[in-house]
Amino acid sequence: MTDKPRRSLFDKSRREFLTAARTPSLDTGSYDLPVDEVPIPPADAEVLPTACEYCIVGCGYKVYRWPYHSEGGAKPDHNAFNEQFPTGPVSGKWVSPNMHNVVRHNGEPHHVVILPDGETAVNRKGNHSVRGGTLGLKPYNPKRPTAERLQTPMVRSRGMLHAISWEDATTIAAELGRYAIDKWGEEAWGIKYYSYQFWENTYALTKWAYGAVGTPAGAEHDKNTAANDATGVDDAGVDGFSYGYPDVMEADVIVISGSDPYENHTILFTEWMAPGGAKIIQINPRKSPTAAYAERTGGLHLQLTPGTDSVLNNAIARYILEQGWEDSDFITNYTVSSEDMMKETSWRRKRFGGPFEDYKAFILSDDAYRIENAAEITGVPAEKLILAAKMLAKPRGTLRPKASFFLEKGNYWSFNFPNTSSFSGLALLNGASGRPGRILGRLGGHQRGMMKGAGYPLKKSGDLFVHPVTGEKTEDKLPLHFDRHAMEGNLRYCHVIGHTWVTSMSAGQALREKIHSFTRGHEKQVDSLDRDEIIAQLKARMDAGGMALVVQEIYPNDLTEYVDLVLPAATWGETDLTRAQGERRLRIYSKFYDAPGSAKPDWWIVGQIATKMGYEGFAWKDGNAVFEEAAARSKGGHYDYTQVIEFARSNGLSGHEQLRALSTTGIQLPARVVDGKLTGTVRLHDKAITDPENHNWNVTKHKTKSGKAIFMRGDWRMAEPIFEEFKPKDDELWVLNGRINHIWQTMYDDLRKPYIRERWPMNWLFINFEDAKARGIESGDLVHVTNDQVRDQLGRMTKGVLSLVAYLTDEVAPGVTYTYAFYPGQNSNTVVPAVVDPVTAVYNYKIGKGRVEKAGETPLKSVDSAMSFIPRSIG
Amino acid sequence: MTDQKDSEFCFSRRLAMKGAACGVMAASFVPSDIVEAATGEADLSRDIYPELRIGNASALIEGEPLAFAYPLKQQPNLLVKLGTTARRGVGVDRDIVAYSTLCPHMGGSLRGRYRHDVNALGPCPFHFSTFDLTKGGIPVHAQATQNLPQIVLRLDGDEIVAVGVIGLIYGQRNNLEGGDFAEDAQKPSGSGRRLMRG
Repeated sequence: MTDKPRRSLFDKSRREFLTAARTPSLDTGSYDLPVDEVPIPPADAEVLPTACEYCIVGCGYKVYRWPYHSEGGAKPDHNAFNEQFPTGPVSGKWVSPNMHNVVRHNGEPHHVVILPDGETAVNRKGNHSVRGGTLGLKPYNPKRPTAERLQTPMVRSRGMLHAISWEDATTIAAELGRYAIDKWGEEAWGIKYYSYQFWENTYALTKWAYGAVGTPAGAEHDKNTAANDATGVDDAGVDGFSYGYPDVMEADVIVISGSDPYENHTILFTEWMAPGGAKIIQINPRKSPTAAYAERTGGLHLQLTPGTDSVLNNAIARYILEQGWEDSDFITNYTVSSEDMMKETSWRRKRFGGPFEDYKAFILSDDAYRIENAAEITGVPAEKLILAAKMLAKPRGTLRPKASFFLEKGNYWSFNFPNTSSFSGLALLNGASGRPGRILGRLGGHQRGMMKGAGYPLKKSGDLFVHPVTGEKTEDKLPLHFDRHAMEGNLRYCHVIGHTWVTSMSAGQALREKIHSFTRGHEKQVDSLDRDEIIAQLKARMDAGGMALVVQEIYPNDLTEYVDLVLPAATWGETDLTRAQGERRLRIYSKFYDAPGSAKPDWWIVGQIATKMGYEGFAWKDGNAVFEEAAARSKGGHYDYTQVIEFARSNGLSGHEQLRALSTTGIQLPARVVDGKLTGTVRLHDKAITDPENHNWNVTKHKTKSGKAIFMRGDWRMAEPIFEEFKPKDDELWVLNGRINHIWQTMYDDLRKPYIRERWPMNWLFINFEDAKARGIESGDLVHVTNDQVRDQLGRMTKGVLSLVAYLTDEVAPGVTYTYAFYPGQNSNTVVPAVVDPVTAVYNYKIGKGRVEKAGETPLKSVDSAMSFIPRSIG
Repeated sequence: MTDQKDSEFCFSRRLAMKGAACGVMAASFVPSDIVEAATGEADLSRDIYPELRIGNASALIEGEPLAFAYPLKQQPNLLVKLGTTARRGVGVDRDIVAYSTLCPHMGGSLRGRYRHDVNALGPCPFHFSTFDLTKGGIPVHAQATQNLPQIVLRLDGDEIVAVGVIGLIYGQRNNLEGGDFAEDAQKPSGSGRRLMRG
């Protein structure tokens, strides 16, 4: 091969053709066709900044784009990286074949390479996870599995989806929505939506739903209601994303509850957490890769019985209190007094929050938190609980260790309030909220893509708090339980944006049956393609107690089987978008190729429908107009970017252009102009941060009336009744679900990434060797899970079933199994009862269980299949 | 954590005959200015993989990997008899396989990180990627964006011959570009395995 830039031939399509020919199946291995040559960008390739589509860490990426019939060469002056090929280790310039794709740009084919950007402040040296590293497989390409993208509005008529115009589609959605609101009130108009797919979109859809329509029937993302995530952290007054990643490196000890950062926040772990050298205390029923890492590097794995987090957290707190090891300076300077509490208005804070003295009295009052009792309840040996307390709080001479505390869904997806509150209490006790090395925070799931255009109208909800222990009925408002509201038949129009909804929620089978009966299973169906007839026929269904279902999506999924109207969305890379990552770092996600077919950005679709419904303020000319308008809603908050917009205007730039100039590093919010320079905020809640220009900057305070943190009391007794009722009995096992390293969310992209599908071709059941042996199960066997105790949203006891491939491992302890949460067609929440946390009203996703039985073998057992069954706990 | 086995020894007939050390394998990368293909390879193509005889199947000891370079001098690999049937394995028990020892995430060296108890390679010292050698080098867990490149083997009688690579070796834009061919690399006996373009 010569070193000169050369022209590609059309023979490049061989691999792409073969991967596209592959349909989702268990026939893995046969189509494993990795290539051993990849095009690299020529020196004159265009370069556009973006950031990863996936996890909270939000690594910076650069998109290199160049015309199809050319290619860069191996010498530095022949390629866009100014790099000699072959490259050395950690060069950050090596292009893996899965980082490359061919897209259409301005109607012409172009190569793109989507490369981790080593110059960004997040993923130094071009480090990347397997998720971001395969972003190259995401863009639409008709020769690849992404050919399945939705490309035109469609209506279901005579049972099939038919293409219609945007004009007709948006008119139908507007007319039906208007009809539902006018006839049955705004609570008959429901919206279920992603919470993170960029500020332009979330601003537009919440402005529409909660502002213009004013419905209380709305729920975002993983929740059945418009509630908090880590409620006990929020109620403490601590922003879950207060910190910057360099702060993590300062910690001596890091407690991680219910998350695996190696798997799910990869660059935070491999680039910041592990190099910082802190000892890790991993609280997790699974010995996942980070737990294995913790054990081999001098940390601890507290492998607790699922759901007993509040006992474990409070027991460690009690031991620290008994030794007098609490951080008294922090408690005095940063946390509330009884007088401070008088100013609070939130009912949760007033009922369950208070000063340190109240918290201490609470911890000491319940014998469940004595070490020996806690050991029995949690299944964690007493000596490990004591060792954890010593690592966290035992003074080292005159100093105390710098301890940080991170939690995520393994913690707050069961017993949300007791678990998150007990964790935040333990953190405050150890002086952690928002200082370097002393952080209380979330590790996060998705990025911070929510910019609310209007607040949730809580006063319209009729749901009220009932105390789970005393039985006291109160007037304290809970947000409306969206799924129950829908299943009761109250929704006549439901609009779903970027969400699988029915298949992903608790008691998913009962929910799906109900929604099916209101939509595709309803006797009133559309049999026309005439716009007016479609509207009349769907109104007739609504009159008969049914529902019109409208979905904005990028791919067909489990929900689009029931849909009446499909609105194809343009997404990441197809239009300019913005959002922040886990350090509140705001960046642009540049458009770099043409959206497929007539797909449109979600904000545009919402704007068209809202305008046709008669609402004003939705006729934006472009995404930047939405972004600039939304800035006003951010003012005074932790994501305040009003001064970014002002700064842009003073430079003659648009908001989007300003962010493009800030490239992959972006700016950490809140941002302000200091000495003529745009300046970010590295962390929140730290009194050491100064405000030389006196901007009345609230970043040093906690988010409470007094500016001081509140000790929330996370009470195991509020979890215990549900735990006892729904825990496994007889030969049942816990059937937990959550994330895994390779997979992102509902697999909307992963289903179209052959490399990812090879590793995880179907949903699996991690099962301990002991439990497997007792049931005659081997790795690669087909197993069935049945739970007869799936209480649904209407209080009925139903049955949940699930079919999986067995994966034998000591990653899970005997009695505990683990699956992926959102595998399409194999959603694990079908075996989880729809029981909510009484204080926060959100589902307990982690109380799944069932009988596990061998049902046969899968082809994955063959040595010629690609799926690995080696336990991931090996290190 | 893996046992740090540095007992792998280099396997090359010529090196063995010379009694030379295997420094060529330890030096994972050529300096960036030495890239032009140069010496003694007029009969070798840059489009077709060469063949390399790397040892006798009967001489392999189960669980004890051997290091060898292929297809280029700077590309380190291991050859191992797993003791269990493996994807693309050769030999009577289909248990002899070979893989690149450059992690396809960011180029960390996986040398000395074979775990015989589970037939896995890793964790990589850089970011802990670990690969399953029984299943085509698919990750057990890893941040790599492709499988560990597998060296395609053929058995000529008792003799193990490397004839190609599945997957792009870390650092390369093309597996056959940017360095000298491994010592003793020969023209393929038939039409040979060609590169698969991306």
